[in-house]
Amino acid sequence: MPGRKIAVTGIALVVTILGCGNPRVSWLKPYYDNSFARFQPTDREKAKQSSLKREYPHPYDNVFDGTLLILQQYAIIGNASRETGSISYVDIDAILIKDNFWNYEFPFTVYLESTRRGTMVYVHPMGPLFDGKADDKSAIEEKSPEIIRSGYKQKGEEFLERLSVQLTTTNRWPWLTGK
Amino acid sequence: MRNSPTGNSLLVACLVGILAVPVCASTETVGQFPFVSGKRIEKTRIFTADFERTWDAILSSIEQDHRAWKKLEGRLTNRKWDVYADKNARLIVIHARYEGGKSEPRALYMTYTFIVEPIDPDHTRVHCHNVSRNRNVPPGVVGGPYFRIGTPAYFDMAEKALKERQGAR
Repeated sequence: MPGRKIAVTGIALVVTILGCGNPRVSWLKPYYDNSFARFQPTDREKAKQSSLKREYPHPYDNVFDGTLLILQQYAIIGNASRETGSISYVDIDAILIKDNFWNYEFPFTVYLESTRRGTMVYVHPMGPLFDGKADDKSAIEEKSPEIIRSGYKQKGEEFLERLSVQLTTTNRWPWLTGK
Repeated sequence: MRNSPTGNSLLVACLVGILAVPVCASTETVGQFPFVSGKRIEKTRIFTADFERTWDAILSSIEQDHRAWKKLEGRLTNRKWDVYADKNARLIVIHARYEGGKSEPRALYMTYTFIVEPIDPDHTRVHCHNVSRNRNVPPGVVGGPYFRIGTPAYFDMAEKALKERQGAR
C-alpha cells in the first residue's frame, strides 16, 4: 500500500524533525538571562581538589593573560579576577565523544596560584553533576552522566593543552604571536 | 507514484537534505569563519595610545554602539545587553540578548570579549572575539552577520574616539 508507506514515512519525518528541534532548557538559562551577573566561581579549596590541573613554568601574570586570551576565542567569560586568580566561563564549543557529535555547554572555574616553579592552574567543572546535586534532572543528561563527565574531562584537558601551547609559543617564538 | 523512480529519488533527496542541515550546522563551530569576501576578519588591532586611553576608547565605542542600537528600537524587540569590565584583569565582556526581530530572528545571545594589552607607553594591543549562542542552532554555532562586522566596527569606532580626543587636546 503506497498510501500507507507514505503515511509512515511522513510520520517518521515529523517525529525526526520535532525530536531534533525540541529545545532542551539548559540549567544555565538564568545566567544567560541576567548576563552572568550571579555566575560565581567555585570555592577555591573545592576547585583545588580537581584532577584537572597543570603547573606551567611561567609567571602568574603571563598565565592569567594567556588564559583569558585562550578562553575569549571559544568561551563565554562570566567573570575574572587577577587578585583572586579565578576565572569562570562557559565552554560552548561542540565536542566529539565516542563517535557522537555533541553540542553542549560546559561551565568551568579556573583557579591560578603562584608556585615556586611558576603557576599552577586548576580547572574545576561546575554544575549540579559535580556539586552533589545530581537529582536535578534538568541539569544533566539523565541517561548518560558518564558521557557528560567524560565531556567535562575532555574539555578541561583541552583547555590546559591550549594554554600550554599559547604560553610555549609566546615564550619561544614571540614573533609568531605578534609580540 | 507506485515504484516511480522520480518519486523515490525525490524522497531520497528530501531525506538527505533534512539530514544534511543539522550536520552542516553542527560542524560550523566558533572560530571557523575567518574570511569575509576574501579578507580575514580583524581580531586584533594595535592602537597608538597608552593603556588608559585605549581602554577608555574601547568603552566609548561600546557606548556609541549602545546608543546606535537604541535608535533601532522596533527593528529588534526586547533587546538587552550588559557590559562586564574589569580594568585590572584588562577584560571587557559585552553580553547581548535578542528576542525576535525580522533581521536576526535566530539570535538569542552573544558575547564580545575584549582583552586590552599594554605593549609600551605609546602602544596598546586589543584582541576581540565574538561567541554566539542561538535558539535554533546548537550552542557554539556562529550565527548572524554580527560576527563578521562587529570587531572591525568596534575597532574603528575606538580609533575614531582616540583621534577625536587627540585632536581636542
